[in-house]
Amino acid sequence: MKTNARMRKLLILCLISCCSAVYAQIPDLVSTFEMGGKAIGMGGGVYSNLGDPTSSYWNPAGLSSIQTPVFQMDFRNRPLTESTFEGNLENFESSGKVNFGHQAIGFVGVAFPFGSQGTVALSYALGGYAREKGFGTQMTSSSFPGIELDVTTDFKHASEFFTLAYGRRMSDTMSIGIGLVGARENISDFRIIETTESKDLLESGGFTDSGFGFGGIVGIVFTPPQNPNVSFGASFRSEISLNNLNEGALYIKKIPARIQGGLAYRVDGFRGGQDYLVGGVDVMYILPANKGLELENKGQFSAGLGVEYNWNQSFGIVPFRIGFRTVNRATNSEFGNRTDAFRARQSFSLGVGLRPKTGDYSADLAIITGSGQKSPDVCLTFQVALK
Amino acid sequence: MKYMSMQFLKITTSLCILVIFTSSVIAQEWRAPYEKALAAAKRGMWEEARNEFLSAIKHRPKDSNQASQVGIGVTERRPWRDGAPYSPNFGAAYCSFKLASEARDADTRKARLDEAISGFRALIEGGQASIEAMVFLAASYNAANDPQSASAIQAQINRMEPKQSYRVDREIIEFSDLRALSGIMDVQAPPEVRGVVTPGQINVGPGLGSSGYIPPLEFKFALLIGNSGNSGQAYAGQDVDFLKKALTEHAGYAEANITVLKDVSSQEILSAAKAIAEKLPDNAIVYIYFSGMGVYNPETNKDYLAGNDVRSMTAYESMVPKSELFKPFVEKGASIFSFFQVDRKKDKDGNYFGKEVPQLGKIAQLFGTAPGDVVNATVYEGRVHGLYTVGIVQSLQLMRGNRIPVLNFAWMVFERVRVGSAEGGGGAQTSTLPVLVGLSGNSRF
Repeated sequence: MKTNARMRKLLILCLISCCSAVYAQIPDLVSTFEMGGKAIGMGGGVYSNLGDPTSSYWNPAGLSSIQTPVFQMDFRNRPLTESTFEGNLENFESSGKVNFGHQAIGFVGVAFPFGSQGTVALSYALGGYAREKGFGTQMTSSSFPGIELDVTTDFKHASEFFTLAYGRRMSDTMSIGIGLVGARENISDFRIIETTESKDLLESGGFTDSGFGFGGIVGIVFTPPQNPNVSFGASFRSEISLNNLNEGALYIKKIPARIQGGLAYRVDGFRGGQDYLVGGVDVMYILPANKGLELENKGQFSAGLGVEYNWNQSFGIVPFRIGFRTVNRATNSEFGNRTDAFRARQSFSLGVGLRPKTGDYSADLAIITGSGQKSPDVCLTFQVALK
Repeated sequence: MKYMSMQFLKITTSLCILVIFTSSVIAQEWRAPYEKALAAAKRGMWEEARNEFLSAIKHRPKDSNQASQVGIGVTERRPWRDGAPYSPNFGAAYCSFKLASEARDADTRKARLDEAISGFRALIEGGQASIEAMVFLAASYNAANDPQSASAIQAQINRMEPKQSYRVDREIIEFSDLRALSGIMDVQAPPEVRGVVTPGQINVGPGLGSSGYIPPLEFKFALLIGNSGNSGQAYAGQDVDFLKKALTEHAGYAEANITVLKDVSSQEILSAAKAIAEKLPDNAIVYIYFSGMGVYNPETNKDYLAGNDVRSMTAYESMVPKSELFKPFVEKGASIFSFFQVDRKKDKDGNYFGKEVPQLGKIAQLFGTAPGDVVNATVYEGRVHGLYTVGIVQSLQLMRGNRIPVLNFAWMVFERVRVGSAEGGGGAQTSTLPVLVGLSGNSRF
């Protein structure tokens, strides 16, 4: 067993040293993947000031705004980067496009308020994601002189968060929240090398690994007493050490800590007081972690801003959203002689929703166009009040 | 837990202790008791509703006509109950009013009415005067046998513009009261013609229902003239007594404000009119009833009312010009509602009494019969009365109120007169709808 594990590690080191083009222009959402929800249509500008079940992930203090038991589920696509490789395996060029990927659940959560005693929420969220499929043909390698090679790679990373959170109003102007976070890291990396001409298999290897760890999250939301239409939210999620990782430990050992804060504001009185507008700006910082590892994060900023216009009709409220978000590149830029494995990302988002006056449900749709993406991301959110 | 950093563990432990032991001010929770109060009010559980309103008041003392917001986050905050006003003080007073109507003994009823009066007055005197509060305050005064105070409040309602009314949460109010309020608060009508609450419209409990007391309004006056001489009606004197009783019992006219003249001269008619006019306040209402002889002079194009001293149908100089009868009231800005039980035969030129239409003033003229016809009599409750007068009295009995819309009233009188004439009143008689100058069909007397 130990011999096999050692062999796998050696193979992986080979993969890392020889195949420097595993990652090609993957949007750097390794730690900043947005799992969906209505705020994604606003560029995430109100993440720190939200008051729905996703607050368990972003800022548990926001849970105190929840008045009735509620269930929420977000669906969104998980983007797939498709890369092509050219040249020598030890020093090659790559180009990639980000496609839609597949649609899957990004968030599931439920929140139960207990009157003035606070609100408890339990949730699942996908908070970090990267996926790349690469292919190169007629490539060369010093390890296989004189032979043209076809190389196929498949890399996947996903960070999932299971949070039990609690938020409570301490006064008319302040709420606080805390949460226990269980994180699961899923990572896999495979490579196949064949001869171009005869498709003889030269090398095949890879791994699938997962690790788990616990952390915590705390947050606060504050509304100035002289201006109830503004709120400030801030939260801190601790670094989470992962255990039970084997080959994956060469890539990641910790989920980085996150600190974020934002401002949300509200303007009432449109159309004779029927409509109102909400806007916000939010900034997130992922603290450095995993130094010397393949998914080393050197400290990453992600910021967004957006507005939501709530159009009041006889049947309900229809929110219209627009936003912008930027994420800088921070994951290991020197991996395997590459300098462009991951890239920064800017995105524009548009969203629309429906909050019927009768009926205890709501629905939201967001479309996000990211830089370098072939097709936009699509997010659907459903929320149902539980009775 | 083993893998959580010690640093984070210290932070979270401290925060937990802070949460558990904090004594910081918890947000005053007024919503739950208020919503319970509404639910209880909808079920007619007024005692429970009142207690919950008082509980809401402890957390948030003052009523507000602005939308309340729920939720602390600006992103999730929503107008509470679609922007409904917050009205626990109004609600508590209204519950006392409803409890008074359910009370089984006089002491409890009085105590509840006192609570209601005190509650509504506090709102009105505190600058939160809603038409709703004033209507129920007037009804409470009525029920507490304080017609003067009720009349004062009703006069206030009368002067109030709808826009000035403080917004209250109408979801508290029982449906039957809401319906009555809608009739009272005819917001399309100017204030001087808007209806006023009566116990017949707002239920104030047993003994004071639709057959109960109609509070008189001090700005309403009546001049009732019954002249049986000349070509007047022999029953004219009985008719004015009959009508006076109906006006005091069913139409909110104070007995002291009703002048009855029987078989009087033209000069006495004019003198009485002037005497009444001197007592009139601003925006007064004057009800004029004339049963007797009336003629039209084609030379002056005027209508004339004959005193008992007139010897000839063409002795116009000894008669009272109708315009002269109206004049002192017009000069005081009063609204005049005039009813004429008079024969209206046409002369050879087609002229008839009632052909003159005044040019100035706020005047409604109604006639007991159509042009060219005569008035008839019937036996009613064992006495001979004019069909028109019987129709008026019956209509007052049915409509019961101290602000009756003239057009609706005229239609009801028309029907009663037609029914009366069909039942042997002596020939068909058709009373007329009002001829209006400066007033509308919704103007009220």
